[in-house]
Amino acid sequence: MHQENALPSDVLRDGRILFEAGYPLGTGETPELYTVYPDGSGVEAYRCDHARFRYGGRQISSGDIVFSHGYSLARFTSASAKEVAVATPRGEYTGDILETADGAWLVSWRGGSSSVFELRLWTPESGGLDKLFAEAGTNLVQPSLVTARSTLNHFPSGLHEWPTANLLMLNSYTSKYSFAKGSIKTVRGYAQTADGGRRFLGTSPVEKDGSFFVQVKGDAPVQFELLDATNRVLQKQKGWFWARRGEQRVCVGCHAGPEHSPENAVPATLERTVIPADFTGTK
Amino acid sequence: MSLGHWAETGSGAGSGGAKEKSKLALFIIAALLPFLVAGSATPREQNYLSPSEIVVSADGSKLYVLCERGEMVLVMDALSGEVKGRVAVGRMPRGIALSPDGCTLYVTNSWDDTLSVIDTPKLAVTSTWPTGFEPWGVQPDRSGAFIYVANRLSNSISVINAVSGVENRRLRAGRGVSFLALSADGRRIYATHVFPNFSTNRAVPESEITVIDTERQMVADRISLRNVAGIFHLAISRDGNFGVAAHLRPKNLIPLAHVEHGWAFGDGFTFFGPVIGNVQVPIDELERYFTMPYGAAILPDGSHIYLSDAGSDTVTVIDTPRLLGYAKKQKKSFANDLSTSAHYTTTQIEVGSNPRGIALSPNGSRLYVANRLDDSITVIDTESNRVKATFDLGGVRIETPLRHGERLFNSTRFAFQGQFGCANCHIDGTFDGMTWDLEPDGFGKDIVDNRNIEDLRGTEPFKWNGGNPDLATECGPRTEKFFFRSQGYSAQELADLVKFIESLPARPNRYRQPDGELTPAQERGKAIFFRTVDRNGKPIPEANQCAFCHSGPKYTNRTKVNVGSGRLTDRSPTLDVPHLVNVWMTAPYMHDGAARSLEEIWTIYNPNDTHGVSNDLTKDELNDLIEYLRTL
Repeated sequence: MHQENALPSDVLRDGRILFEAGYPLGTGETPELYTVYPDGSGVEAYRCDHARFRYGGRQISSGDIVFSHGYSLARFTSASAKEVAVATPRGEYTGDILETADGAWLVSWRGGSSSVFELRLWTPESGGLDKLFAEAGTNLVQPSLVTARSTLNHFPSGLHEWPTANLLMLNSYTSKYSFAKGSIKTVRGYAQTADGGRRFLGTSPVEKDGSFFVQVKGDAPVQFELLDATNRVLQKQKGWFWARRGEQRVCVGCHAGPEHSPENAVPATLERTVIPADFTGTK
Repeated sequence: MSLGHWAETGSGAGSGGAKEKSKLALFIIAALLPFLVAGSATPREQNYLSPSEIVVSADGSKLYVLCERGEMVLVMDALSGEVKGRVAVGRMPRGIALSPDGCTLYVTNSWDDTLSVIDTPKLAVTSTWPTGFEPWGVQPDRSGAFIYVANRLSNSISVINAVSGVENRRLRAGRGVSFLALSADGRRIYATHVFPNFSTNRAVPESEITVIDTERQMVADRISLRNVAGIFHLAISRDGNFGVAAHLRPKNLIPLAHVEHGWAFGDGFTFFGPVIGNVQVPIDELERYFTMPYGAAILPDGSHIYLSDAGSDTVTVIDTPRLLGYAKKQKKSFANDLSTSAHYTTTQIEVGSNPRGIALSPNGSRLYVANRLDDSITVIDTESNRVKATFDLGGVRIETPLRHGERLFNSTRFAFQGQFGCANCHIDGTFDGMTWDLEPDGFGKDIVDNRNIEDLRGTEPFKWNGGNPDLATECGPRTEKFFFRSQGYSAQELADLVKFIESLPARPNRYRQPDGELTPAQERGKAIFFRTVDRNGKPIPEANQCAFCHSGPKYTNRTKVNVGSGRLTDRSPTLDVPHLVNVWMTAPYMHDGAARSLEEIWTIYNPNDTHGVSNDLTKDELNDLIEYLRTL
């Protein structure tokens, strides 16, 4: 993961940090919204519908995340796994979207590249952008509301004092990709090399229920690929996965989406052993 | 924090001037006056009413509100909320129902194992009849000739003659059966239960809706609810086409490594009946949870379903036609899909603290919600789905530390995204009958049985590895870090929560005789418990005698020992000696819940006599030992 490309944009009420980075994570150029806990654990895309060019996400009073999406605005709402379009005039939106005390959205907008950015107000009722402030020849960007902020919850980090991280996959078949039942036999892990290439870390069996359990080096990018019985790659991870030192992470599936709550079943891999396969690259 | 709480603890703050403080002091004195007059500055806890269930009279004019702590039924004007009368009932009443003619009210007294029969015109208890252990739900049949009572700790349903009070039959139901509902045609009674049925260790929790044929007074069917544990109220539509049962879907079999994405619990309901089959419906969203669904009601026309969410202090409204349309299109279960509730949820309505029982007016225009920890009733207009009124029942208005602690215990707002709280696993302050894989120990390691939390004082340390010296450690940093994964309790909140948990008494033991004498079998079992030599007269080492480790008033010497029950996946075979108070009701047993019964502790999990000497005992002697343990 290219950490220099991760731009935090808000701290959510649940304590997570909302940030913007390229998609697929660590390789892509398309801006996407992600979350991470304050201790650096739990990095994941906010949603897995992965539309084009999402940036500048902010949480508003309803709990929704509002953001710029291409040449318009959009929102994520708790009830939906996919973004919801917001009826706003087409144009360029830049900087943070702020919510005023009366619920209007304060945005920096311009109609085209020949114009300058102006501060505008949008409300669901009007549907349009009411000019709030503009200055000829000056781009007005990154407005900030002078208002009291509530104290955010502190986050009790559960990281262990380990140099490694444990990753448990509950069911590889729970995925946006389609895998034939019983087709996934093994998982391979790769580390990222200094030049952006891949270094093989190891192979682990995938159980019939799609579960596997591996240990990786902490604070280092890792990538997985799923293979069938003939060692044919069924799916290669597009970006990079990243876990903190001492993090214990469990995934519902391979690119399952945050809407998927885990099925309650003892993972077969833990029935076999509670010792993870070594993907640390140290042996 | 309420005014009363601030006053009592002397904490909190405020930067108001002397004038404000003086006003405050006067107000506090006024609030406390009734208690000062009564001779005590500390309000007695029983002054709280704690309304938990409601029934509405057939003409819709009266509400009968069951007050759990008040140990009474309040009769209220359904429109004005004015209290018209009250009648005292037994200890810890839990269930209430009206006879078909409206002339008789039935109330279950869970700590007395009785049913109060109340003449409604006279508002007087006319009879008190025995039931099974810990009666909860009560439901007369359509004729009114028989009354069905759900006995939570007997796992059974009593069928009682409504004239004589004699138990006509007893039917086996799910473990912890607690709630009953009658079909509109009167042919069926449906029953739900709060603990999963007995099963093998680490198996998927299995529950059921027990269906009773009221004509034959027999169980006609058991509707299977897989991966459900903790089913509360249920309701049946008037046309008989469908029913709903509020439920929890625990995630006890996967490591509790984090909380997001519904990792600890799923909230929802079972949607069942001729029009749909048997479908589990989630009510949560991706980042919001509507927790501990408890009460259930269906509008007379079947168009909307109402659920009280006891942990998140909300009522969830479901659009039935939209739900039916959505559910019928699905080719596979959507119980774990947090994005589906938007397809059928109309709204969520904020109500009071710990909403429990709900009831509709006969025409369905009003929904009444019992706010158990607010001593109030919320009235919702079902046309607009807005709060129309809140009836204050007139209970104690100040918040004592105990009451505050109880609210914290039942609230889910402290866990990440408000997903769960103490009461999720410690149902009604007890246990949940399940084992859990807690992340701090590593994945798949140190699987632990959830222990009963009644009467804990004097049983420290806590956790199966004895790692927590006191409740403040158990409920404070550990809970925040490894359970809630979010900011936990403040120092004051933690103190109040601990105070509440420590106040939870052991429920009455059902196996002790009223005179305190032991039966012959219990006496024989006691002799085995305290024996110092085996069958052959060979001395049993002191440390391997039952009464050595299980000693003292709570039957624990509060040490850690290795009795050979550790598993290869346990980090240490040395375990905390558990107390044995009311041990008869808390299966499964042992630290990992491997033993499904007390007997299995010795017949399966003690092959080398390392957990006391038991292999020389006959089956009859083991039965005697169990008979004695049941009295503890």
